[in-house]
Amino acid sequence: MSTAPALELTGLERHFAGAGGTVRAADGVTLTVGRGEVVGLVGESGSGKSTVGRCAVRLDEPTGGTVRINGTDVTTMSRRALRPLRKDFHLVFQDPSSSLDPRMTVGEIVAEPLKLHGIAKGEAARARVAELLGQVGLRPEHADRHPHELSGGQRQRISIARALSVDPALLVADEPTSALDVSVQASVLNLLADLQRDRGFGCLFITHDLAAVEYLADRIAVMYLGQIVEQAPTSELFADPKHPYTQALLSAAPVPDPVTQRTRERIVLSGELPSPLAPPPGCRFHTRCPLAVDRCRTEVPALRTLDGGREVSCHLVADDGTAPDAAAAPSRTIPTTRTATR
Amino acid sequence: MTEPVLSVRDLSVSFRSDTRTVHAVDHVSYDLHAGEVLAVVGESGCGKSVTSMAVMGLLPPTAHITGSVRLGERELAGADDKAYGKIRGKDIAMIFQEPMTSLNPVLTIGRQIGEVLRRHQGLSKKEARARAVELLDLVGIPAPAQRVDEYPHQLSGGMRQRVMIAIAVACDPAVLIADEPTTALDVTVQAGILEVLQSLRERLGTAIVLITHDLGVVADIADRVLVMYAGRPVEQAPVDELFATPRHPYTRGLLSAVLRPGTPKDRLPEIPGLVPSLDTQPDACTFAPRCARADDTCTASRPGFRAVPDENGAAGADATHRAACWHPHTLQETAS
Repeated sequence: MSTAPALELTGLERHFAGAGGTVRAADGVTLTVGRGEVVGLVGESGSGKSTVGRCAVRLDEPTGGTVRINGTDVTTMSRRALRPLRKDFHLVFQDPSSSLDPRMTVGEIVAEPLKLHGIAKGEAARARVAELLGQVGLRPEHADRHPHELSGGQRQRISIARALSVDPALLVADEPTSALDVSVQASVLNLLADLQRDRGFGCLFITHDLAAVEYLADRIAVMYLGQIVEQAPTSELFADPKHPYTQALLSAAPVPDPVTQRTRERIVLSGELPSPLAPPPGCRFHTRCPLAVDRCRTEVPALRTLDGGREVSCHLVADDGTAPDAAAAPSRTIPTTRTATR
Repeated sequence: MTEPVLSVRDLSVSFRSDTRTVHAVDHVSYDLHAGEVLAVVGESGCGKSVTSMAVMGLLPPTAHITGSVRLGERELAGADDKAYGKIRGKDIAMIFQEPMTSLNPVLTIGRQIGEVLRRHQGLSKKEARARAVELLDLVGIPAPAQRVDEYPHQLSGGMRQRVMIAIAVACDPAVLIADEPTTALDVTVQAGILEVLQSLRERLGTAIVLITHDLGVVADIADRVLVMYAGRPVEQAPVDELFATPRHPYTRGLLSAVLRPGTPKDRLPEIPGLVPSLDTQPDACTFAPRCARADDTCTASRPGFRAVPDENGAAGADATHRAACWHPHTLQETAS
């Protein structure tokens, strides 16, 4: 086995040319997922995180940059040449009801990759399916059911079983828990954590759920408008977010504890996410940044490495990691404290 | 205490088909006071949305509804469409998860806000437009005088939800029911919508029923919480008390399964088993098959929705905290 990272994106671009102009959905994304590493890719709707995920598994064609899986450059590989390599990387989608074929039984769904890659067929495939179902917490008799006979959590377990049936080096999971209820979400996160520990695959975990990514990921990359604005080990990012956007994002997610939540201040961003057709000049976040200065409006900040290895693209963060506090900006924060009506 | 603005008593909703009856809501009761935010929480299929649709009179004729829904002096249960037409949008209003499907794409937002005002308050076209601009301002839409002439597709998801809120509160209703109002929105946008709901409660004294599965949102804005499971109420308490000392094993399971900042990377607690089918109304606790505390009583008899025991274990006099459980956790247990 090679020692190359499971996934290596370098300057990944995905531009969609249309009549109204070019949408820069992913615009120079550089990201590595090491073997056995879970990297969280977070951002809001329209940040381009799903586009990056789709390009990483070549469900979408990058318009620039390179995609390497297990050290192999797959950026421009033909579909045919790519096919045997497909067993090395798999995608799990948000909505298991629409990503599972309703006419196939669970057993057929899980066995499909095994057959396509010529790994097992017939009795061997059936045995392997039973084993996989057991690993994701389902019973062997589930193999004869159809997806509609199962709950949402069970369906997501099937997607995971199918993705892992061929022992991929890379799993790209795009919002795998977002459609699930809290208690079911916990069991799917437990499952992903267990499998990841046992199998040691690299995982790109794409989500808007900050709590889930904090739980599962070793390292987190934050995207805004097609670009990564900050990247750091999970605990460091949550303890000390450097980029004003990361600070706003973390402050906006309410904490499930009323006493704590009442004392938190949230940074309310002004304005709206700009159109990816015409990203703002300079720093893309300057139109909504409570701290923006003139330099931010004209000069594009590079994603640079700080002392200690974290990466951030903000003019206001010093090389030693000293970062301004967006919550301290005047008139932009609203305390969440409220008048008691009880 | 003042009279509640909305009082729901033993509300039950079932849907019948030729082959089976589904009991979606099974004896739910709550009171809502002016300026109060009551969060109704629970997982998919627990009946939290159906309860509110029944209160709003929005269920199809196949729904069989029993119990009482009092809005101020009026009894709404059994009211026909004509009676509901007079109060919906005026005395009680509702907003939904997906604002794009609730707005008419071919009418300007000013016209859609104005429609409610002209219908219920008899305003002229010109007056309605002027009031629409004020309402857009109230819900925090920048440049309201220009926005009023725009169409829904010209607005972002967060702005559309603000428009929905403007329509809902146009006639200053006593009660606003918000069904997952921020679920489709990003967290930074959600923060803004929560601010708007907060200011409505403070400035207009609107009472809000907030239906959500997001316990972070509950912690942020609710005064009281009603937890539902499989169509039945299982626990109700002031928000701080519910999070600090949950008494029902389901509530405890739910709260422990929620991820919080700094959750250790150990296994997350799960609730074993699956939600029961709603085809039967057993005379038993419906959570019993998944509950570690369940005994013969739990499977033989349905627990009442009673005040929880106090610190001495005596039957509680504090009716603000109720649970439907034969063996609720004691205060000592919740502390550990």
